Amino acid sequence: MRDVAASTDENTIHRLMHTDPSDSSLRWFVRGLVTSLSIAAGYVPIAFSFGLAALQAGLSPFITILTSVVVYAGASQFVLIALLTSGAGWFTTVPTVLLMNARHLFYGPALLTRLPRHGGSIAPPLLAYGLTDEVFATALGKIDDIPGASREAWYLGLQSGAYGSWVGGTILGVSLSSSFQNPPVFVEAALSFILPGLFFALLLESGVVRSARTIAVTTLLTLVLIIMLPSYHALALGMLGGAAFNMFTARTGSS
Amino acid sequence: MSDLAVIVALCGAGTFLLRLLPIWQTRRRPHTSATSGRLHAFLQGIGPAAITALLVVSLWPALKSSEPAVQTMVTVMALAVIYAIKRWRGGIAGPTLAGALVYGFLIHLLT
Repeated sequence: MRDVAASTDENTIHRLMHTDPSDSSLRWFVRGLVTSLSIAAGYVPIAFSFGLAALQAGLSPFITILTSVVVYAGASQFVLIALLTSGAGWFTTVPTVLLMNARHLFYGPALLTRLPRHGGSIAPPLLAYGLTDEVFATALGKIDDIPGASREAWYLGLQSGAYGSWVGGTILGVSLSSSFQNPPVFVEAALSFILPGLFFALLLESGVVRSARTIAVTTLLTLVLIIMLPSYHALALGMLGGAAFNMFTARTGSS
Repeated sequence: MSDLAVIVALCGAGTFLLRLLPIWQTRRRPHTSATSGRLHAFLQGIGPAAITALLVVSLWPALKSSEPAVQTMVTVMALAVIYAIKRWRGGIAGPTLAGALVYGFLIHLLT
């Protein structure tokens, strides 16, 4: 009896001495990395395509990889290389890219509603740097399943994995450009559907029934807008219109 | 640094500020209960609205292609596969990849 009690005390002391709170953060960071694999499945082929397209347009490997490292914003990167190779200067290029990415203004405040109050522990620049469409959509779709105190670590893992796959895909595209000039139709078509498929899966994950009206209004609005406007304008305005609809219906309690 | 590198750096800095400044602003600004309610409802709506708009915009090139009927049918079937596999097994990556494989196979078969 005395031996069992002593052994139990020793185990308890050992556990208390060697329990490290950072183990939990690391574990959730790794889980965020694992979740980012769904984004990476879409990012790697698109970033690969970006690397190929940039080299074929005449940009150097350095500029191509630099673009993915510092801009890190899918569609606007393709527009950026088109403008650079057409001879457009900074006066045209910079405002065009920023206009395309203007929807990112709303992602941070929306994400903060899901993170611990009173600031949390992540510095705002770290929260912001990797906040792309896909990271935002995945975070909003899955973060409610994560314990509140672990959400920041998980989000950092998600961001890191997504960013690594985007930059890595670009480097692969730059390195292997000569080997991938004419991919098979099946491969090209499958790769082109990765992102739409990802967005659809995320929409299902976030709960279609709960946001049915907002989703319906956003779909109709975006379809109307995309007929008349460039896709990045339709995207931003459709998103804002859907969010505004949610704001008004939530106020009247008729959502 | 070359002119191109400067332009890329400016685009990167501007995009970063688009993401950062609202976060700083949100953490600093005090909210009234009325403002918080409206703003909270708006921000709650951004998530599903953003994902929906992204989905529509990403599907649009296929739907306005040279064979819209075939593309629409193949797209609907691929989305149905994603729905079915998600209902069956859950997750994100598995259903997405399955939908992409079905889409690629059907496009190869029908076009």
